[in-house]
Amino acid sequence: MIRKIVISLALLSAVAVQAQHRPTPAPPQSNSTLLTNCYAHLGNGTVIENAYIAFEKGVITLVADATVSRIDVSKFDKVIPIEGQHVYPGFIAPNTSLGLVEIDAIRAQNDLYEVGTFKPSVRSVIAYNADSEIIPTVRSNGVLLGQVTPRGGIISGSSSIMQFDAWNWEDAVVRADDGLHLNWPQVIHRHYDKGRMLVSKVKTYEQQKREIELFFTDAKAYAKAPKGELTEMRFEAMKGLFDGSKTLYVHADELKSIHEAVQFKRNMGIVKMVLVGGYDAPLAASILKEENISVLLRRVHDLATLDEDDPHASFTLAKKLYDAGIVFAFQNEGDMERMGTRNLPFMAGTAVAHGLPYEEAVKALTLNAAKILGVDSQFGSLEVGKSATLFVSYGDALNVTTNQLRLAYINGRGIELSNMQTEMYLLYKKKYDKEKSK
Amino acid sequence: MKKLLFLILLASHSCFLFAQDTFPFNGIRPKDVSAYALTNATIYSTPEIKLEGATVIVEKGKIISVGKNIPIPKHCAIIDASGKFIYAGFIDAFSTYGIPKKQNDNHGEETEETGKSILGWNAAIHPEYNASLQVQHNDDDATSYRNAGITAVCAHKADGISRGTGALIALGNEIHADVIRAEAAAYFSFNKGNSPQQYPSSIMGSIALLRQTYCDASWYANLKESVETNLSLRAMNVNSNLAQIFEANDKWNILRADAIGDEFGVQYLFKTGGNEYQRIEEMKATKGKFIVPVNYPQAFDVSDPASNRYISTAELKHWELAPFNLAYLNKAGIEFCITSSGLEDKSQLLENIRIAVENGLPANIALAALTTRPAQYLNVQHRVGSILAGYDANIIITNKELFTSESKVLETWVNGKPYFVSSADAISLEGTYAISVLGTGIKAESKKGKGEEIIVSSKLKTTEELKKLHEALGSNSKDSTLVQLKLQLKDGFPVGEIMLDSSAFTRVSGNIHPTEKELVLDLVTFGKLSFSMRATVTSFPKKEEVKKGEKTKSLPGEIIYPFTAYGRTSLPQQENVVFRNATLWTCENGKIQEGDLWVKSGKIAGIGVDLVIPKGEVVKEIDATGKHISPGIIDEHSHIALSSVNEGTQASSAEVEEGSVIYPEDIDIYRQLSGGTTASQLLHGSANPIGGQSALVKLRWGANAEGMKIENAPGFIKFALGENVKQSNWGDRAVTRFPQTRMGVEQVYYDHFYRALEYGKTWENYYAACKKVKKGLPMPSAPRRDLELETILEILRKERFITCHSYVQSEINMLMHVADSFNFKINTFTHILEGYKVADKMKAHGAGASTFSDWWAYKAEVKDAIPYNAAVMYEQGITVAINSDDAEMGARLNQEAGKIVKYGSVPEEEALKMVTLNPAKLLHLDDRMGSLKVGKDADFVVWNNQPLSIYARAEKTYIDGACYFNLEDDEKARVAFASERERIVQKMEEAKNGGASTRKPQPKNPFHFHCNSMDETSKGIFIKE
Repeated sequence: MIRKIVISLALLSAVAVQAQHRPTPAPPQSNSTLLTNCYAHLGNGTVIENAYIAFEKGVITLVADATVSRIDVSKFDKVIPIEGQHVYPGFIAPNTSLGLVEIDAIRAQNDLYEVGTFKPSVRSVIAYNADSEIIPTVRSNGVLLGQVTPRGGIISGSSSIMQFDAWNWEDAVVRADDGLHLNWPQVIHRHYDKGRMLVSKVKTYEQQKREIELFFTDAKAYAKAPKGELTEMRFEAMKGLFDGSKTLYVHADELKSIHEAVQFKRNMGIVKMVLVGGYDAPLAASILKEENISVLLRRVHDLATLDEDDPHASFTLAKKLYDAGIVFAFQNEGDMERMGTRNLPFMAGTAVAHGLPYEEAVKALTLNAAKILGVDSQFGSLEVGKSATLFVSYGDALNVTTNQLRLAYINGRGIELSNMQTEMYLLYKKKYDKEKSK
Repeated sequence: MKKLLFLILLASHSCFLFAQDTFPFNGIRPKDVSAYALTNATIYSTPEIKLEGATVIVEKGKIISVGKNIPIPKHCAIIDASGKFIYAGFIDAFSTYGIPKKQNDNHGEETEETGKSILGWNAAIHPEYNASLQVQHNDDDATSYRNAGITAVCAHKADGISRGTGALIALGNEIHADVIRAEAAAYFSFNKGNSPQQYPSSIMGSIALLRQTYCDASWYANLKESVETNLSLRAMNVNSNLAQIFEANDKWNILRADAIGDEFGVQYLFKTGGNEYQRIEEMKATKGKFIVPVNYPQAFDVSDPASNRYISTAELKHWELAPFNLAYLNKAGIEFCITSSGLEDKSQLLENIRIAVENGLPANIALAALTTRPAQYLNVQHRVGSILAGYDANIIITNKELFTSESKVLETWVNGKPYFVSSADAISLEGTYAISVLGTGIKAESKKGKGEEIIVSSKLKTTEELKKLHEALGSNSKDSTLVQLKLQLKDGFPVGEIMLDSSAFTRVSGNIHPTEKELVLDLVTFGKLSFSMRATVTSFPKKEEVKKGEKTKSLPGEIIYPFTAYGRTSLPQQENVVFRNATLWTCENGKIQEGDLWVKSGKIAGIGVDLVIPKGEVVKEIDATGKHISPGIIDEHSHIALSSVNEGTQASSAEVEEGSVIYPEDIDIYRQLSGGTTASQLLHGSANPIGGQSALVKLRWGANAEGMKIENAPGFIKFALGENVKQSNWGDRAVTRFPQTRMGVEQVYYDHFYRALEYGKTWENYYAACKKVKKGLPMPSAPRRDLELETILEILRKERFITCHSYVQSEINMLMHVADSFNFKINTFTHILEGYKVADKMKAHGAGASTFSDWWAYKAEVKDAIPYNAAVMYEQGITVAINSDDAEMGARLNQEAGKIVKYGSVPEEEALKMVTLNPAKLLHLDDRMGSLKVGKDADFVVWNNQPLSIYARAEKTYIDGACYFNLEDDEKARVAFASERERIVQKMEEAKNGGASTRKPQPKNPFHFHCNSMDETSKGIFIKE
């Protein structure tokens, strides 16, 4: 019953804007807003079951437990009763390629892979397509921010954190050039032969590793040297790695690669490193902790690597990292990754089914992701002073059957939850309803 | 010391060259007057008849007589073979000896061959090839065979699917005289080989092509009037009297080949791959005889535990069990012969068979498998394979009983001509030395030096000659000199050095002359001062047998089904069990709270609240309070558990069957069970408008391919529309295969349906004509059976149903029009992402839908896909299923059904039906599967939460009332497998320390197929769904 109402509400708002595929970016918040009786997941691991949350000019001004504090409702321009529905900080999709590719098979729409091996100065931020029709379908499920990341080569380029409701990339950018992505060469190599995937040690591994070391050594020297006459763009882009203003995201899954990458961090004096993937990370937990390395977890909905592994190996990885005390967040790199980003909350849900405490899963989608991406001063939790980037779901947002957004805000701006798909749905629903009534 | 009489023969064998009579001879033509009596030997006349102190008489290449106390004709040279053993020479029924290799650079590029020759159309089918016309003598290869005791091989061209005939030839030096049977056997395989044509690109294509070839050959044989001359088909028929040898190389391929054999009345001899023990019952059921290699897998280098993870459990266990294969085969009563094929070094043959004998293969069976059996299989048992009067004189002489340790071949005789292999005894340089050197004499016992070296040392008075030697070597001489002779054997020759006072030295080399009592070494020094010396060695002991540490022979691990991780020693048994107090999602009559489910004999026996089980039933009671039970999940669109998915080389491949290439060892079967999936439609891919036939299976983990198939399941076939079939995403070069547009796709359908109709008419006419024929008059020729059109005709006759890969509305409409015009229905549109646009038309037509929950944007044709698609179609009254088409998603289809609640507010129970009852309906299996109903198959899942929830985990998955997945056992299995792996790794480590060669871990991950996966001949074209 409730759900029926839910849907019609969501659809009504869509009807209001009439069949235009792209929702209009919302204007800046002009009214102060109070959400009452929220079941609030703060993102930092705590829950307030009956919370009042207020925000003004895009910033959270109040997060209070209604059972212990009295709030003067009349002070707010707009009061929205939430009636015990779930409120979460906007979910964050790290290591995503949203906005860089629209339709996979159309080559002209692919801005994901630049040519070359070391290309740290290549920046995703300027290729980000704020008009992508995929992005609205993702935010409809609660994912409101993403780290837009280029792929390919050894250093694929520079990622940026974007929010998902903007006229253009300049409006969208939250943190430009937050870090560089290093695809650690595989120690173990998979190749296709006679219908089977073969795995063997890579012959050129040592050489590739040497080239990476050399590149970083040169970049470090360049960073220390006084400004000369020549501008080496690649090394300019690398500078931040050595003073901690940029993060080095190392993509690696296999134990040996992880060990090698950690050793590399020590040798090179990289200040901030994050592991992306980390299928074997639980086996390397102690050194990851020692070096304070967080993990952007390999996709939860993924097959186990080896036949012998737990068939649910990818589902249980989050719980293992949590038990080991490693900070992690979810991401979704792989097949169908852009359209699948809307399933990020459900991946967290699957991790909960496999032992991760619920609020830890929320934390991984919000505050931990924000911390790892270096945007936690503004985003990731419902705290006074932070950006009012949050959403209201009629039900549990981590469960497929109950994730149903009612409201969503980015920097206090109430964004549209319709998208090209909800509109096509309405269009044809109408067509059939008309036929029926005839 | 025995006289090495065989050396004499070695010296003379090179003159045994008797050219064939018809050939001109350059010189004085030699004549064969050879006649020998090999006496006092132990002769195995056959594997069963052992004659001790016996004689065999060989004359002009033939065995004249054999036995004890037989008269020896005067003209025979007598060779004393006392202490030796004589056996019939080995016969290898599977060889490529002497066949020229032909490389084809044009691999897989041509689409078809149109009547360029009077051979058949497909270059992989060349039964007309006759190896005897091509085989050439090759000295090196012949020698390596002979050294392994092999005196005859059946040489064939190991290329293609129907490979033509092999020639059985003895391995002498004269190929004309050596031919035993020019056409001894016909050879087959599933490997298309060097054919330049694209078809077939998959193993299921090979199977279909071979089946079609049998149909064609039969048609050709019965042709009353000549409509075409086809030498390939003619040869297929001519060769049918020979042994039919199928190179299968794998247990599953043996079963696949046997199925073809059964269909066309052919009993193949199977060349195996050495893993038959993994499915011994199935092997026996083929009733075939086997040609078995003994190339056991090499051990792995297990020094790095991190890399050891990448050795699969199957590889570890196979390493341990492969040397038991022959013993398992024999114990099961399967008859086999042994081939040296696959051995990198043929000298390993005897040692590997010895290991098999040690592991339980009786020695007489091993001998028969090398001699009488292959002779029998190739129908030459009256000429070779035994030592009997009148047989070819192909024999081997060994030092010891075969298959005992240290046993080796000394000589191999081919057509009465001896070839030296090795000397009888290994010579040891150890012993008491008497050396006369430089005017003095040494008498001393040898001692062991480094490695194989021996040292003879003696303190001598420094003679004049010794002084000279000192001077020559630049050392100072004293009154006495410590003289040391260090020697070892290099290639049978003694080499080493003479050392004075442990400092100066000069190198020596020489010759060895063994006699019965002593060894005489004649040594010469090289360098500034050259001199010779003679050492006489007496009372030298035989080379000591290296004592292999008395290993307690540990039993090998158990055979598991399937032979991979999570396999079990036996299949799960059906239970008589009742689950109490669960929430039952019946998908039939709604939900039953606190309900009981009773299953028995594989069926649902009772369902309800407070169910009373009849007295006398021995039922296991399980408290399922708080649990949810749903029907087993059925995946309408899956590509797991297959060896190949696409035969996309032609616009139609209706003749291929996924059922012929089920791969029961795919770990994804187990993974999907762990997510509650119990049955799947294994579909052909989407590379062509008319794909192949589906296999409908239950995920019976551990069963064989036949055992996985759903009994009496209806026939299905895959069709496909859109970008994949018009090759839109295959790269800029793929622009020539018809069709390249949606317009062409329609034409493909009309063309094939019209042709199928005409084909059906041809057969109807034939049957009608047969009825009219009067008794005694000849029947008309049967039309040619066409497997492709036959399948398409089944669609028109509503005996086979279409599951069609489809995306955009135009083509969906088109296909419904095509079907309407031929008066049948499209059963299921799969993917059907624009189904929401044409749901009313689909409903009117009567088509069902099987779709993804939320996939889109991967191709241009899925830009308009919406996750509300299922809900819209459901609301229009269409039977809607949610499928995976993805190995990972197939393990959590309950979540995907849950999304339909989110996208479009479909009630939960209706959403659950989309992965249970509805796919059962689409597959015409809903009379026995898809819901919890008394009498239906007991396929169900016990969940810890409501089944559509993201938090639901399958705790138990039952198929036919047997528990195929149990979460508790899953954890235990992991522990058990870890320790089993550890045990074998330990054993490998020991083998390595014992000198076994090793290889680096090179594990294999099975490839996970999607709709668009091109297998075998893939050129890296991977496009999205």
